Amino acid sequence: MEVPPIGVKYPNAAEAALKILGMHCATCSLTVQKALLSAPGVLYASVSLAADEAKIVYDPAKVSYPEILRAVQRAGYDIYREEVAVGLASLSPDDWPAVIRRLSRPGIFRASPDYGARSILVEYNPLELTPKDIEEAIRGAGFEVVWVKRGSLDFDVDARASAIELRDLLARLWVALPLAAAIIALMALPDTPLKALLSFLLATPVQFYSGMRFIKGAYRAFKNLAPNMDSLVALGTLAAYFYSAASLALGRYGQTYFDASAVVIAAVLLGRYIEARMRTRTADAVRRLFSLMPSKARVLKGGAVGEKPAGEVEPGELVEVREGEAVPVDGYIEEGAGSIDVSSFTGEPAPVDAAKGALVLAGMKLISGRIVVRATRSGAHTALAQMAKLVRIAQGARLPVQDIVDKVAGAFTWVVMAAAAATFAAWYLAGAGLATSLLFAVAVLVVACPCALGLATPLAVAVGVGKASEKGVLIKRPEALQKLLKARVIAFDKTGTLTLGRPRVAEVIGGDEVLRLAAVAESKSNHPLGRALVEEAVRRGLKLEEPESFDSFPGQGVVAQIGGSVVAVGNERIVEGMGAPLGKYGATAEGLRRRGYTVSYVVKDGAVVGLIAFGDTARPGVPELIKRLKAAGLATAMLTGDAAPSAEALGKSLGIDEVRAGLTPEDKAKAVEELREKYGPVAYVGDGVNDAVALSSADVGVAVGSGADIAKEAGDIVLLGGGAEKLDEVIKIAKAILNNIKFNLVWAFAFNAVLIPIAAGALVSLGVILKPELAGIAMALSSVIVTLNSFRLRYSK
Amino acid sequence: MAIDPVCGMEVDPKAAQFKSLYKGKVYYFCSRHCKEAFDKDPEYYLTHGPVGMPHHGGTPDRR
Repeated sequence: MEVPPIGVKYPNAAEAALKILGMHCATCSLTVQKALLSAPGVLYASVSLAADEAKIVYDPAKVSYPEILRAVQRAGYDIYREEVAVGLASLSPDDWPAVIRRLSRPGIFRASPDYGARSILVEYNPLELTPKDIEEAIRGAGFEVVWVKRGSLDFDVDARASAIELRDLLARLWVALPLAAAIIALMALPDTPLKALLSFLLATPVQFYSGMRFIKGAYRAFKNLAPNMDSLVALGTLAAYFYSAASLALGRYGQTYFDASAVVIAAVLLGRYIEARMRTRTADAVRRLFSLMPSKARVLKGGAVGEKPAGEVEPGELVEVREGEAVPVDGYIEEGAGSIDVSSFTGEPAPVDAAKGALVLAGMKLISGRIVVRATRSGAHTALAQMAKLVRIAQGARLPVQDIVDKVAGAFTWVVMAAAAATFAAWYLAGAGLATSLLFAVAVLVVACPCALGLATPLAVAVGVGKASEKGVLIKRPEALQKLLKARVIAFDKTGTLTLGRPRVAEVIGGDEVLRLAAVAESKSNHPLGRALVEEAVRRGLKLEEPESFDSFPGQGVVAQIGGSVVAVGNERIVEGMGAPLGKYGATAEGLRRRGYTVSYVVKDGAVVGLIAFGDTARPGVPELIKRLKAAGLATAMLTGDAAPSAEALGKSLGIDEVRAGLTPEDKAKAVEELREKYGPVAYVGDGVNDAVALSSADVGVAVGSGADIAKEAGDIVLLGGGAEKLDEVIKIAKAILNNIKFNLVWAFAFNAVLIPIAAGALVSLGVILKPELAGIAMALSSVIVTLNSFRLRYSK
Repeated sequence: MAIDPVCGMEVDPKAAQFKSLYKGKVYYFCSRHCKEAFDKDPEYYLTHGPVGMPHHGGTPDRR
């Protein structure tokens, strides 16, 4: 490759290759090149269409791979990335800044933590880095790597890692709790050398076995110059322990405080244990998804039936699914029919009837019937697996507010240590004596709870995103929730989003008999208009008989013999074929068409007897949604590629403020820009595939998904099944998550703001003293409360 | 059974793929060729009767 003349100006420039996905023409490569160059730190980019590869030269100090990825994706392409999951012995939110500092390096597109499973999922450029490099980077930050897994995720690993962590906590607790209790019991005795010695013997294992977690964590944190919760606990308890040990050695038996250090360690461990147990449940949503997929598939081969692991089914193989079983692969029904429960994908409880040719997805359940599925995807490639992966990544996503919180939490521990030092100095100078001054300082150290602060946001996001996925709302980018609530105008696509996307009988001219004749004539057809006629006739309770004969003429309509009469239903061409004059009906039909309807004539024995107007009607719930949005002071808009008459008619009936029809996908993106200028932030709700451009140009894109290929859907939030009416649900979820976070943050800040001064002895004059033991218990409780509050989201409606 | 008005063959209306509607009556054909010939000039075949296969014996003599 020719070396660009950049080395002179940028001596440190580095070079890398990226695999680009989705390029198919020369202009594509130009677009990608432009996108790459727009990212900060990229000095040179050349894109080869033939090799689907881009070479970039970048300034390692300035380059941001996430920005590069975003730029390429914004241009409508993608960069090939591989994934590696790295499991750690322990991972808590306040470790994250240290990890991310190590992982913010060229070659890494994204890193997301999973605190529940104590693992980090890293997306990287395989042409530049290997999983080994990433593992070493994480080790370099002082973390113990327990396992490394490439490619798709194995959820058993999560469960195993959680189990190890829980066992470790429990083992330490079993030592700490009884010993701490014994020390408290000893306190009731008068101060004797024996009592002090016994306390020392009891407190030592608590300090150095049970408390080793904190000491190790503190060591790592100080090494990274990012002190955390462990630092405070270790500092506080070690101070109390060593002071007491020194008193014992010097024969000052009355000045030992082994109870303080032991109780604090026991309390904090107990809090951690409760928290860890609950946190493993953030993975419940993902685990639930995986539990839907059966592990075995029954494969038909040359008349024989064989079982094999569902993940090993090859595309093209035939898989049999019997009544009551779950579908093991994605594919199309080749044979048979049945009633299928799709609630795991859409949240809709009503089963759907499916027959030959229908798409079924792994994890759907066959309630009745028997089907044979021609597999298209299996295992990690199924829609279900993709969904689980997206949920998992989203659960670990950071909200913008987290950046501020992390900064505060980062500074917080330093402030607390300073406050503890100041407390000690102040009491000592005031003549309180060494022991008393030290106890106040220890109380300050152990009551402070940066942990609750750090947990407040990620936990609520993880629980909320998991909960939403159960309702068929896939939140791909949690930061979009905030933007959704800030949107001033909601723009909708029309067909399939606001409307059902299929025709319904809107008007019948000529009465029920005309409808009945038309429905009978069409009863044998499977044209969408025919189905709409039959549906409406059944709804009106009309009696439908079998036609004596039936013929369909594609592009025209149908002809049938009913009770000795010849009945035709269709457009002008069928009327002509029947040799019937249009008469007055021609003008009526024209009028209906101008109002946006599709019109069919009904001809009986050579004369037009009536008209049927079909329209694509609003989805149930949509009129109410629009009303609510308007009541909330939001502007609404409809952007559609359909012709103006039908769009305007629907817009008017729904009361939508702005209707723009006849738009191409690019026009829609432009319209989004215009709406933004006029009203402010825009939320766009539309088709996840066809409206990709508009979805990504809006401030927040809500895709009405087809369900089949979630990873390909654009949009920050994907609705699985249903249409615009589900936006209500999304708004509700967004509010619930953000309110939860607010509560968590306010609680965490308030807790520290109130209890730290008390621990420092601010209220001693009122007789209120927070002993270190109580301070430790209060601190443990505070993070348990944040955890409990986040899990409220799980059980909310 | 219906008779193909162009070639005179017997056609099963239930299985017929090619058909045309003319003056309120449905005509069935054995092939696309017959249907196309009929659609061009239905009156000719209805008044003259079947003339044989247009695609086998060339276009019918219509002077």
